[in-house]
Amino acid sequence: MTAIASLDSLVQKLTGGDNGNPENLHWFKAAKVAGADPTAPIAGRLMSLWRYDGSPSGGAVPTTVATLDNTTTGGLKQTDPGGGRQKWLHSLWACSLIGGTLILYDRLLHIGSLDGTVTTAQTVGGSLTRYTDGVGNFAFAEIYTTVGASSTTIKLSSYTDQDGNTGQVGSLVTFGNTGFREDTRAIMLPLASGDTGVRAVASVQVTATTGTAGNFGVTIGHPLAYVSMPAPGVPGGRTFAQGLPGLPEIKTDACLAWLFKPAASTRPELVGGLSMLEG
Amino acid sequence: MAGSIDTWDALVAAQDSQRNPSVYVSKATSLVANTSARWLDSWAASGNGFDVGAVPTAAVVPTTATVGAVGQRDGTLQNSGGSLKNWLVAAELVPQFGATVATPGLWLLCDRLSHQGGLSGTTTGAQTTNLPTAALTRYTSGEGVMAGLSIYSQLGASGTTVTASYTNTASTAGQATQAVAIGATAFREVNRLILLPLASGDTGVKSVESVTLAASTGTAGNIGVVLFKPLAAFCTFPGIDELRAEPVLTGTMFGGLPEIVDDACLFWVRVAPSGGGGIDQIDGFITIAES
Repeated sequence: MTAIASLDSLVQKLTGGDNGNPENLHWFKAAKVAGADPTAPIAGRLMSLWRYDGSPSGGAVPTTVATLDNTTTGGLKQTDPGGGRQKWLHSLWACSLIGGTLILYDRLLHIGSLDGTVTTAQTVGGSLTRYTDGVGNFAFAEIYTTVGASSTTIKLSSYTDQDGNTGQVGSLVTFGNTGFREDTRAIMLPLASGDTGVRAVASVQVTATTGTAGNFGVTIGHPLAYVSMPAPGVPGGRTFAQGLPGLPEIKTDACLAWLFKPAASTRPELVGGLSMLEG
Repeated sequence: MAGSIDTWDALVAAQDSQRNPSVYVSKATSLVANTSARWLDSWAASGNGFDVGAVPTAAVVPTTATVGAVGQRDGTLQNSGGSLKNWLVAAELVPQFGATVATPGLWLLCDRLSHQGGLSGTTTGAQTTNLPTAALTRYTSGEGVMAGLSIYSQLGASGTTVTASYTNTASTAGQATQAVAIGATAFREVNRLILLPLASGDTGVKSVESVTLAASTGTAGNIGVVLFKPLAAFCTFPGIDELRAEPVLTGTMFGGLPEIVDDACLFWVRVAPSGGGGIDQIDGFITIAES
């Protein structure tokens, strides 16, 4: 395992020395999905920016289960480290039309085309290619087309936990109806008591029909960093060389994507940047 | 590697030996109502600042020598010599809004790579006046280059959408940006910068060939295409009346230690929490180290 061993090394690598290969990646998200207005977010409720237009471009709605990497449209498409080195996140910042909290995560696997009216277990499947031990991985229901207005619940009906135990069943959470049905909503799926991560999801289950099939999926991700933007137009940022826990690793092939918890029910516009280096 | 700064002490020493370590910054803009937390192009914004650029007409490549570029007025931003490189390593900035210091918000330092003007807010169909944009001379791959529409004269009150046809980093022409709002409140004001989202799969822009409004905004105004590369973000927070920013020890400058390539035309993209009334201003210095 490589590391950034000193302040001198950090300066050297940030300016391209010692194979630092610094990559300063700037991005923005417009308040559009495929050129049209998405449903307005719900204040205080998690949403996915996966499909939001921007630069790099937004992602597509998944169909069959797939793993993702740094060539996947919708990710930030950062370069891979070379020469056996690792890639590290030195800093990140963001500024938004509305306040809120951004979560940078490695989008590991996703599936779509699940049905908001089906009450039997719906298959997810697939195998992770990063963070394969499952520790710290989360799973969330991601809504691509609004589901119905009938309130019900959803759960991970069968998953493999961080210890390799199969057939684990997660807790129920609200699904359907206002606040829990809208496209771009992301609904975290709790784990069974004692579990700390997800290696694989075999199936999810909606308890009762929401009334509308819509289109939703399950996404497995690994959190990397958080940015708090306290108010509209007031940026937030973090430099990881100061304080603990240190520089997060950006794994080879990582598909970097964003979740957002908005402070207002306004479609967000965001701009931000990541500073990365190898070592 | 040639051009890198290999130690912290070397970074300090490079600033002392640099021909132009401190590049004076003075930018002001009259904030227009309804632009709170929206992207703004400070290029042609006038006020009490010194770095005021001309509204472009024909497609040109702005450089360090272009009036309005940071460092142009007093010639303090100079190209690096020989095989050396210029690095942006720090800044000392004082934001001020009207009579109030400590204005929070974002000041994003960018390299203005190509711009033009003369597009109309009433013409529908593909507009090619003063297009295509002048060929990039910096960041020629287009990777990470953003495209936006800068509003130089206010547009009309009718909201519509706009797209642009561009060439991407793979040199594929005819790519279409995703539609975004233009015209009407918050999307028509002077200095407003409307960023253009890319076609699926794209990560940058080499050139823009045309711009198309879906409908008239009601007023011709003046719109221009700008291609730019973001370099570093300076985030001013409430209560901070003087920002001493650098990315290593204090972490108050974001974007690593970016290289300032030769001929760079530095300018600011601004996001201000407040809109309307008063002058939004930033003064101070950015520090360049040559190595």
